[in-house]
Amino acid sequence: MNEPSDVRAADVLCRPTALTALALWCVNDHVLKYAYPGWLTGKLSDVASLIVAPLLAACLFDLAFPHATARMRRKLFLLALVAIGALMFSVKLFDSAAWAYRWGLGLLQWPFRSLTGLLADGSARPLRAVQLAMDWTDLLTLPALIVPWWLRARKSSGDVCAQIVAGDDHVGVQAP
Amino acid sequence: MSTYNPQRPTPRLRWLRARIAALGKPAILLLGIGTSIATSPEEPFTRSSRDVGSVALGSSRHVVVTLSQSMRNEAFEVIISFTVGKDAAETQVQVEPDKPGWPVVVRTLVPPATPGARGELDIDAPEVGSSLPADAGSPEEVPTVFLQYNLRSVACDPETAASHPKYCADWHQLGAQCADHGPCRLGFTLTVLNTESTLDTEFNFGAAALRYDETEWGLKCTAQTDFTDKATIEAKFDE
Repeated sequence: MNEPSDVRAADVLCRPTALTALALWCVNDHVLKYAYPGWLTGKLSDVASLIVAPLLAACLFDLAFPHATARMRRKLFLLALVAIGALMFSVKLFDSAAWAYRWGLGLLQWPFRSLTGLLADGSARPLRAVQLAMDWTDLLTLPALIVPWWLRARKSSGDVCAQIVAGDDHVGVQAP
Repeated sequence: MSTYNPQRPTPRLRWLRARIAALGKPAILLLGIGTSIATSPEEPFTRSSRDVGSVALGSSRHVVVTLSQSMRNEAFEVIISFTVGKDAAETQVQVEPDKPGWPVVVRTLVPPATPGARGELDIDAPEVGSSLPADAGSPEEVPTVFLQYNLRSVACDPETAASHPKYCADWHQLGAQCADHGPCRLGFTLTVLNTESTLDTEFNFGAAALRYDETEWGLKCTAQTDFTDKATIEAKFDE
């Protein structure tokens, strides 16, 4: 078993807390925000994204540097935490950062929207910016960055992916 | 010693679990990346011209653009352009964020021209939540206030407005001016200010340049709002 200092981000992402945050982020963005627009749903996605995004970034680091040492992975994870926090801080306060976010994310979404459009009606979609509310009170959710740090720091107890395999091993090996 | 246990998963089930476990992390990673990319919806008010088809000019038909609840946090501009023959005019309406009375309904009137003539309307408006056109009433429903040519500001006739609380209108007669000069062009800015305490909204009907032929005796510019008798109309004409 990995020591806490040698944890892979993908393992942390499979833990119930992270999976719950990911599910909440997804459902809140695409269902709850439209059904119940307001302060709470606005902040929920911020909290959930601050939990999941650093883990995702760390996963990508792990994929990019598969032979990185545990120490290096730990440093990259901390870097991801700082980078996500800095991104959140800047896009909520600075117009230029918000502009870059709107168009950058719009650029990332564009291939998928165009593909959907091509399949639906045969026409590609124009490149568009995405919505971003520059609400400084969203920065109050920044302490949520403690959660991914805490998840990675503590010993694994709930890797859902691992439990599927573990269940296979445990069932049926009891003494008669 | 190993014994048979009916709860022990079959090899096929074990294989399936192993596959799920193997795919679990990549699937979660992909879901996370997908959620990150799709986290913010598109900007709803990237303008897209929308042809609403031919309309009969002179009928005072107007277009209603209903804007969705999701757009209430942003200020934006709705541009409604209309074409009369070879000439085009444009109406711009600035919509302020988070005002009471959402969804905002923006109305504009097609200016009257020779009866029977037809024009094209294009709406530069948010795609999301917009619905158009809507025909909301005949000219008879619109009360009119007559202005003198040089009058730059006028309040609605309270009596007229009170009897028709949905509408407040401005009508400008240019007959003599156009008759003297033949085909003429007039630029004007028509602003409707609401002074009612429950709403604090200004609809700027923008600048328009319309040309009529010499058989036309007047230019009728009409503004409609949902304001009540507290509304004020300012009409500023180009020199």
